Order: sequence, then C-alpha cells, then structure tokens
Amino acid sequence: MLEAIIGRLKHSKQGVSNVIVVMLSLVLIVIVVGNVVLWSYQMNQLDWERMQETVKIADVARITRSSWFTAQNEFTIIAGSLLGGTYTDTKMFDGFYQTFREEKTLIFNPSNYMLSGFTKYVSGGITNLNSNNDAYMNFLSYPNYEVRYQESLASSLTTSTTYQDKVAISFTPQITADFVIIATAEVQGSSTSYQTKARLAVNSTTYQELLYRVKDITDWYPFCGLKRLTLNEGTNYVITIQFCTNNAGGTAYIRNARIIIMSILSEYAESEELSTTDETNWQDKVNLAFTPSTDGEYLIIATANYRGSSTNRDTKIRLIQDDTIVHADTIGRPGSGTTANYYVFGAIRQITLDAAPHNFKIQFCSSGTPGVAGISYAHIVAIRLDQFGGVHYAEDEIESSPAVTNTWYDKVTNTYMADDGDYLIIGSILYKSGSTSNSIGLDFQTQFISRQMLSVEHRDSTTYESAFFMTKQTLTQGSKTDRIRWMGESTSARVKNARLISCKMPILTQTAEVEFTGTSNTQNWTRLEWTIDSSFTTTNVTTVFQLYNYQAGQYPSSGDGYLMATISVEDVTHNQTIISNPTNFRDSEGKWKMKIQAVKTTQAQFELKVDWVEFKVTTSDFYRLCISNNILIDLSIYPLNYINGIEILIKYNITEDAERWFLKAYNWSASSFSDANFNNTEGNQPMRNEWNNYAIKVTGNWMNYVRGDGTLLIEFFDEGLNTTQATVEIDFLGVRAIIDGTRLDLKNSSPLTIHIVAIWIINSTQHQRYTANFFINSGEDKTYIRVDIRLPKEEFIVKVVTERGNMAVFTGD
Amino acid sequence: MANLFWKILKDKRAITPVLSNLLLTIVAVAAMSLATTATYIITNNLRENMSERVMIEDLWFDNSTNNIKVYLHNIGKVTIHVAAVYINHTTQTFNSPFNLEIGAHRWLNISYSWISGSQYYIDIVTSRGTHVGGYYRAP
Repeated sequence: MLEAIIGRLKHSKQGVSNVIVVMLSLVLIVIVVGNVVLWSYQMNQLDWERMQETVKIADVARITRSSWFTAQNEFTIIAGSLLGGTYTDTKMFDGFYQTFREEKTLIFNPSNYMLSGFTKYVSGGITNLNSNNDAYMNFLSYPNYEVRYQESLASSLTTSTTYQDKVAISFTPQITADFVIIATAEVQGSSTSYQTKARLAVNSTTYQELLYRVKDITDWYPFCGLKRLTLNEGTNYVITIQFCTNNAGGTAYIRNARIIIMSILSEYAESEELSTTDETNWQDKVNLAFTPSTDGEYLIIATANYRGSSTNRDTKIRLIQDDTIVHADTIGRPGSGTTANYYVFGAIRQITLDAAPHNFKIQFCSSGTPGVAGISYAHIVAIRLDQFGGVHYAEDEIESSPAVTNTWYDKVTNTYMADDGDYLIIGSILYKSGSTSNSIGLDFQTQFISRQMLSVEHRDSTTYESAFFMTKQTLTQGSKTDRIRWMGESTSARVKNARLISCKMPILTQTAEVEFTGTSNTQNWTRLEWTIDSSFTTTNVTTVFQLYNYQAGQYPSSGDGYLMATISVEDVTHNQTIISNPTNFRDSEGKWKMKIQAVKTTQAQFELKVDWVEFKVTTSDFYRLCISNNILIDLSIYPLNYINGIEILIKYNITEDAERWFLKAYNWSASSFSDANFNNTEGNQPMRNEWNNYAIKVTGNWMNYVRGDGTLLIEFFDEGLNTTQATVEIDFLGVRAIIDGTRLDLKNSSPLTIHIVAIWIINSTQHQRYTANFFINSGEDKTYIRVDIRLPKEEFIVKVVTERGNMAVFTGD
Repeated sequence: MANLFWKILKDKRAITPVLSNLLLTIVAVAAMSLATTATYIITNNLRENMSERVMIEDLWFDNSTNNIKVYLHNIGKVTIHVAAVYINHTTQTFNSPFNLEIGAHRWLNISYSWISGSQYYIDIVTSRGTHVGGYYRAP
C-alpha cells in the first residue's frame, strides 16, 4: 500500500507542489490569525482590568503635622536608673509606661576629641562612644619614623647611554615628613676616553650626579649621594641609584650600591644649581645655619659634585663650621673634557654643638688663574644623634703616609659594644694617590668584612679628594669593630680626616593618640568612675589611659587617673573608681579630659577602635535623672525640604514636684544638647502623681536638631534640686514634623492592585499635576500623605490617576 | 573518464530537469518571501492599531490665555502620534503634532476662544485613527 502511494507521488510531481504551497499558505494564515488573537487577548485584558479598577477618594485634607515618631531603642541613662518597662511603653498614649528613678549618679560621655601627633581620624562619631554597642570611633596610628634600605652589591655593567637602575626603593610614606636620603656606590669605566655616569634620583629627578672621566680602567671611583626631601603620605616614590656610560663605546660598571631613606629630624641646606667662579679665594656655595635647642651631638654630612675648566687647574672644595673650623678640605683636577666631568665631594663628622647659632658652609674656588671652578648639587645635613638608640664614633684627623707600598694599613678603627638591632654605619676619608700613575686603595669594613673598596688614580699629585661610605648592618649583642683601611701603590699616597660612626637605628613603633573632652557639673562628688572600652586592628598594643588631674596640672603616670593594658583585637573594658578627691579630675566649669595613647613596636599601621568612654560621678547632694534617646523622622515621607519645624511631646508622671523638668535636643552642628529656639526653655513644672504633658515647638533653626538621616536625639532631665528621690513614669515621648501638606484617604474596592501615578489639584486658576508612585492593594483603604502638595484655600478638585488610565475625583473646599 | 564527461555534455536531456527545478525553487522562495513580508507589515500595523490607548487626564479652559489645554497620557502599548484636534467637529490648530511615548504624558494646547458656559465636543485623533475626547462645558 505504502509502496503504491510513494509510487504515485513519484509519478505525480504536480500533486506534491500543490501540497507544499497549501501547507505554507496555511502556516502563514495560522501565524496571522494567532498573532491577532494574541494581541486582541492582551489588549482585551488591559481594557478588562481597566474596567474592573475602582478607586475612590474618601477624603482630602490639609495636614500641618506629621504622625508621631517615637523611640526605636532603649533610653540611654545618663543619670538615674531604670525601674521597669521598656522603650516600647513610651510609643503610644495607652497607659503603659516606662519607669525611671532619680539617683545620685550621673553619666557623662565625651563631647569632643583632639588628635595628637600624626594620629588620623578614620571613622565614627563622638556619639558612638556613648554606649558599649560595637559602634566605634576609629583612629589610625602613625610611625615614630620611617626607614627603608636597599643594596645591590654585585658588579653590574652597561653600554647604554641612558640611565639604568642599579638599586631602587619604591616607597609610600605613611605620613608626610622630611626624609634624609643617603646613597653610596663605586663606579668603573672600560675606557679612559669616556665617562661613567651615576646619579641619585627620586622619581627620575636628579639630586646628585657623578660624571666620572675614567683615569684608570682598573679603578673604582666613589659615588656619594645626599638629599633631604619632603615626601607626602600616600604618594609613591621611587628612589634610585642609576648608572650609564656617556658613549656606547665604553662600558660602565657599578657595585656596592646602597640607599637608605629615613624620616629622622635634621637641619638641612642645599644649593643644587651649577655655580662657577674664577676666584682663587673661597666662595660660599651653601650655608646651613641653625641654633640647637640644647647642647648636643650632631652628625654633619655634606656632598657636592665639582668640575674644573682646565686639565692644569684644580677645583678646591671645603666644609667649614662657624667660618673657622675646617672639617674637610679637598682639591681635584678634571680629566679630558674638563667641564663635562663632575666628581665627588663627600664628608661626614660627628661634632658637639652648644645651644648657640652655628653655621656650616660648603665653599669652593679655583686653584689658579685662569681657571673656572664649578660646583653643583651641594647638600649639608645636620642630624641630632640623640634620636638614635646608641652612637659610637671614632676619627683620625692626621695625615698618614704609607711606609711600604701596596700594603694595607688601618686608618681609623671604631670598636664598640653593640646591642641587638639595626645599625647605620658611615665612614668618610680624604685621600690622594700622590701619583698620576699609581692608585690609592680604600677599604671600608664592618666586622672585618669589606663593604666598599675603592681604588683611585689621581690626575695630579696634589689632588686630595674625599668620599664617604655607608652600610646598614643588623648586629647582635657584643663587641664590634668597623674600620677604614688604606693602601698606596706609591709612597706619595696620603690619607687624613678619617671618621667612622655607628648609629643604632631607633626601634620602629606605631602610635595612636587621642584626647577626649567632656563636660560634667560642679556639684560635690563622692565618687568618680571612668570607663573605656576599646580594641585594635592588631594584637598586643600597649595602651595607656589617663584622666587629667586638674589639681596636679598634668596627666597622672600612676595611681588614680592612670590605667595601662595590653589590648588586642577583642574589645576590652577598663575602668577605675576614684574615691579620693574625685573633683580633682574636673576643672572649675566641670570639664574633664581623657587621653588614650597606644604604642606598638611595628612598622605596620593599625587602628584604635574606641567603643565606649564614660565619666560617671556620684553626687553627695541631689538626686538626678537624665535620659536620652534617638528618634527618627521618616524622611521618605517627610523630606527635610518640606518640614517647617518640629514638635516634641512627653507625657510623664512624677512622685515629687520640687523641681522643674526640661527637654533638650542634640544640636548636631554645635555637638551639644541645646534648647535654643525652643518656644519654652523654662522647663515644665509637673503636678505630683498626675500625668503631665510637656510639649515643645521649634520653628527657628530646627535643622540643627535633625541629622541628615532624620535623627533627633532628645534629652529629658530634671532641674537638679531634688533632695528626695523621685520616680518618673513616661507614657509617651515623641517627635513630629510641622508641615503644610495634603492627606488623601483612598479606597481600592476593585479586585486588582492599583498604582496611582498622578494627582491633580485643580482650582479656578490652576491645574497642577503631581507625579505619584503609590500602590493600593485590592480592597485596601490607604492614606497617602504628600508634604509637597498644598491644598488651595478656596474650592478645589482633587483627581487621582491610575496607571491603567482610570481616575477618581474629589471636590472639597 | 574523458568519455564520461563528453557523454554528459552531449546528453541535453539531463540539463532541462535541473534548470526547471532550480527556476521553480527560486520562484517559490521569492513568492514566499513576498508573502511573509506582506504578512509582517499587515499584522504589525494591525497590532499597533489595536495597542493604542490614550486618556485625557485633565482638560482646562484656561482663563489666563483663553486657550483649551488638554493633558494627555499614553497608557497603551505603543508610541502614539497626536495628529489632529477637533472642537465641535472642526479641525483646530494646536501646538504642533507630537509623539507620546509609552507611559508619557504632556499638555496639548489648543488655540481656541472658548465662551464660558458653552459646551464643546473635543476630539483628539492619533495618526492611526484612535479618537479620544468627549463633551466638556466651559466654566
């Protein structure tokens, strides 16, 4: 049968075509009809829903007050005690109340804070300290100083004519400070026809530059760098020693490159631009003048780069103190290329200065006429040495000559007892090869290990150059020896003014320090209890809490008003009760202050988190009650722009009527409670054992009392005259906004949810449309409040428009 | 192999059915494309016509300008184009034809010197022929 049908189809091709055409036509018709039916259904549904929608406006009225807003949390008790009930009992006029009792105890919290040192505020507000509720004020610690050190000791080479990094420090300071940068290295060149260049750079800006015309390709010539810079916190800096050659035909080498950067206190002067003179008497290049605050030991470091104008004239440079004392006196001769070459002047010395004006100068001149001496990048720094943990110094100023050539001699030795820790060791020396064909060798050693080894052949037998060396070493406790050794290939070699200093670096600590201040009263106190709850973002922070003793005029270092603890990341509460002379810890106006100082030996910053600070006093005379609570106005319904004032109402019952009762609100601008612009600042005289309503209206500067999120902090307190203990019952405490808006009572009697999209207010002169976005569930009666709509005083029509296109109309007057 | 190729070239009877089938396919595809396009255009217009809904939220006989202001709100499923305004079946000038996107609303100002207490039949017509309006009495 099937074979027969297939056979017929094969033979009747016209039939197949007809079937296909009919099928395709049917598909099109089905699509068209289907779509029409579908769209028709959709629009019919829309129309059907629209027909079913029924919204009515039951009433439209002008409103001048918002609904009452009440407490959302328990009251904070500043003075007094809670006897019964909860804050929920104060939310309605319903006969349920919360009961408080006057006590002789008053609680005060800080009203302000002051940062000490470089402590930074991070987050939180002063009101976060009112309770132990894990709402913190956070403060960021700062370092006592910052230090970074890098070295690259192996020999590196380049034929590049652009500067290449030899050693670099990438550094972002935690605080803005003046940083002293010291850099040392040794350079060599493969050809006496070219220069080896080296420089100290910060973010690619040059602050010291050596352009060394190679005299002997086996020599290692010194590079000394010094700079003081103000580096800004949070900004990244890259401090580098770089090197290159001035011609690709020559290879430049560098080794023993070291940089240290540290934010220690210093006096500083610089003159970096090129200065020249053809004078043969001394010319000032840079002058550092200062007066020490007290007598003390200083380390003087000086650097410069010098050049000459002729291969038969010298440039002379010296470092002098107070125009009389010569600390270093050098003479140098340029190689071929003369003014294109820049050489090194570098010297250090420990000196004792009294508390009188002093000056230090780098001077320069030409050795003869005609001759032009040039000098650039001249820096002098004076570092007070009592900043360091310990200083050991040795010097040998006399000139030495070698008894035998090619033999190493100790020039200066510094032997001392070291502690465990990091030491900055610096040496300097004046040296001359004494021959134009022989070199002089210098060997800077710590613990008998060479840290820097120079070999320099001078261009004139009279040339006397200078250099300093630097290294940072971590030492263990015990005897240590640093020394500068030297060797002459010729007996004409000389060395003098050799100095060595070893300074123990200060231990790195982080400190967070903040002082809180507050107010209290001037009544007689029998007892003072102060409490702090705090923690840190790191472990084991040594923390000192101090309460200022106004009688002693200082913060105590022990006893009453002093607490010390080691605190980690968990909140810990510390408190102390003072019974002996508690009034010593307030001033004549009742003000007090408390300091928290947190210190940890670490390089990493941490945060001090203060959760709760309380100053609780017990009076000997009067019973007091003072409570406060936050009340939040719903700004989504009552935006601040449409509020004209606020009203506060308390309904309370009291067992004594010997004193008046007051309401105040927290002034967020002034950071204190206030009743300024209240219509009543006289307080309320209650009737004993009756319900008393005490209402306050604020229409002027009310914004000061409302925080940006709509929060008001209300305080209710007594006059402070009761010698009989009273009990206070609070039935209601609320705040409402004074507005001029419109209330619409709407009813949805349809089975659909209605979306109100517009409101029309129409009178004889105006048709005003207000966009709305308000939903009413099926069968629901709902009140819609619009503080931005003011009803006309004369006859008006109100229309509401739904999203589906229906309207309800209300006529009023 | 060469013989086979030569045989195919010589046999004209094999070419004719291929060409006829090819032509038939092209004609069929073209015809169906035209039919589909026509269907899309026709049904799309139909859908847009069916989806138009527009309401008059407010009509204001404005004393200050002596104009009639109509507040229109597009509550349908398609953008409408207000093309004409009739008052008492007479076409009126208004603040130029305009489009109203889905959910959009705006005033339409009709320059018309109305007389207080008179009744007017106001008819607003979209480009697809939807009418919205009714009788309004001037205050």
